[in-house]
Amino acid sequence: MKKTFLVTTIIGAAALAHGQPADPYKDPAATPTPPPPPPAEVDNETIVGEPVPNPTPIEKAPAPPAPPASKPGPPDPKVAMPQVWSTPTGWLLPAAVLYSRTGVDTGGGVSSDNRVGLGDVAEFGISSTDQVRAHVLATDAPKAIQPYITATFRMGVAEDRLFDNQPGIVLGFRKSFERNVDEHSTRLAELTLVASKHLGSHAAIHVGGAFWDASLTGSGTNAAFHDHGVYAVGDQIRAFGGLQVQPIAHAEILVDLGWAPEFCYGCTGKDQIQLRPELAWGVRYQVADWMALESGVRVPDIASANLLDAQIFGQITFTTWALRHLVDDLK
Amino acid sequence: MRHAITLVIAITSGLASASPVHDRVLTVPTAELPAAGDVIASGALDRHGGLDLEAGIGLGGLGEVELAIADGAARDGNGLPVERETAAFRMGAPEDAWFVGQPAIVLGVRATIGTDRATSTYVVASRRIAFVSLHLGGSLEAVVDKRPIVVRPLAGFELRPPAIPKTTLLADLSWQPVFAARPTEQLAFSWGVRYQALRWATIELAVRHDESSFGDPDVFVRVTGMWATSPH
Repeated sequence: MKKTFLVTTIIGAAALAHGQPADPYKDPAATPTPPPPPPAEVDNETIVGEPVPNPTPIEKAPAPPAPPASKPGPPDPKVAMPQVWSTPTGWLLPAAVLYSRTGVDTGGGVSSDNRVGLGDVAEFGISSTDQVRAHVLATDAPKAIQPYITATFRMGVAEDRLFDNQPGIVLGFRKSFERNVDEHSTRLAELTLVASKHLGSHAAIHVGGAFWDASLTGSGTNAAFHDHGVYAVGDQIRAFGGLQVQPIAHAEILVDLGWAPEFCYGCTGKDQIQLRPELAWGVRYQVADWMALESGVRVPDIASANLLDAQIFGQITFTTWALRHLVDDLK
Repeated sequence: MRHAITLVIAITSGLASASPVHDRVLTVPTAELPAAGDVIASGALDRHGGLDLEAGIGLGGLGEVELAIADGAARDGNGLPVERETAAFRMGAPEDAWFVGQPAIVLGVRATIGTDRATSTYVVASRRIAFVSLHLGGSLEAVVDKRPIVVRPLAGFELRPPAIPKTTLLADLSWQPVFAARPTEQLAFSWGVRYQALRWATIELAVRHDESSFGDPDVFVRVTGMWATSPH
C-alpha cells in the first residue's frame, strides 16, 4: 500500500510538472508570432490578355470589414501568496482570484487550503490542517488530529496603498469546526495581525502576532485558553514570522516560525492545551504562473529538538485568474 | 517490480533527457542539486535481491525532493535489510554562487515514512578540483525515540581519470541505521565504479562493507537516469 502510494505520488508529481497545457496567461509579447505575409506586388507588365487601358495598379474591391480582433489584455500580475508555510502573510489574494494548495507529508498528514480574494481588500478560505496534535499522556508522542477543518477570513491593505513603503497589513481570523476524536472535543480560533514587506525585488519579510483560543472537553476534561483562572493572557499571545528570498528566477527559499496547538487528554492545568513552536523551511518552485511545486521540512515542536518529528512535506499550489476574467467580462 | 516498470515508463515517455547530476556518491549525499524540474530516477539491486528505488525532482535549482523505497541501507538486529520508505528534502547553493572558490553546499533532511522512524539531517559541501570531487559533511542521526541524537561525519571521493572521462571511481564513508533492540548506526565503507553509459544515464557497480560484516561485503548495481521537464 505504501509502495503504491509512493509510486502514485511520484508519477503524479512528474506528470503535473510536465504534462500541462500551454500557459494561458503567458505574456503575449513574449510569444513569437509569425510575421504577416508581405503585400503581393502587382506588376502590370505581367498581366496578359486584355490591353491595359490604365497603367495604374488594379484596384481590388475592398474586402468586407473584418470583425474587430479581440485584443489580448495585459498579462495577469504574479499572485503574492497568502501563506509562507504555516504562517499567514500580509498579502491578500487579488479580487476573485482563486487559490488552492494541497499537501502531504511523511507524518501521514494531508492538508488542503482553498481561498478566494474578495475585492482586493479581503479573502475567504476553507482549509483542512494537519498541524493540530493531541496525545493522551504528556509522555506519549503527539499525533495529528485530521482532518481539522477551519474557515478563514482576512482583510487588510496592500503594500504601498496608504503611503510609500507601507507594508501590506492583514488582520485575519481563523476558526475551526468542532472536532470530536478519542471521546474528546476540541476547537481552536486564531486572530492574527501580520505585516509583510518586500525588501527589494528578491526578498520579503513577514512579521506578525497571534492571539489564540482553544478548548478541550470530554471525559471529565474541560479546559479552555480563555479560562484565565488557569491560563494567563500571555499564554494566548505569540509572535510569528517568515522570510522569503528569491535568489534565482522562478524559485524561492522560504523559512517561517509559527505556532500550533497541542492537546493533552490526560494532563491537568496548563498542560492540557499548549502552543508549540513550529519551524519550517523549504523551496517554492514556480513551474508556471498558475502552479507552484513546494517542498520542505517542518519540525512541529522545534523547542523539543526532536528530529524524529521532522516531516518532509510536498505541496502543489494553483492560482487562477479565470473567475476574475469571468467577472470582468460580465461587467 | 510492476511499480518500477510503471514508474520508468511514466517518467521516460516524452521527456527530454538531461545530463545526470549525482545527488550522492554511493551512499553519502553530495551537494549537487538537479536543475529546475529535472527528474532523477534510480534503481539498485544488491546480491541479496534487495531493491532500492528512488525518484527525485529538482525545485527551481535551489532544492530537491525525493522519495525512496529502500531495503539495502538500513539493517535489523540480525544484519538483514530493513525495508523502509523515506522522503528527503535538500536545499542549497551551487559552487561559486556566493564567492569564487565556494564549494557547493546542501542542507538536507531524510525522514522515514511510517514505522521504524529515523531521521538524518546533514550538511555537506562538495567541490570539484580538476578531475577530483571531494564531499565532506556531518549529519545528525536520530533513530527511534528516547535515544540521543548523535553527530556523524560524512566523506566522499570521486575520481574521473582524464584518459577515460566516462568512468568515475567512487568511495565514501557513511553511517547507516540499525533497527535492533537497541537502535544504533553502523559505519559503512563503499567503493565502486560509475560508467556514463548514455548522456542521460549512468550505471554503477559497487561494493559496501558494513561495520558488522566487514568481511562479507554487499555488492550492488545501480542505474540512474535523468530527464529535463522544466518549462523554463
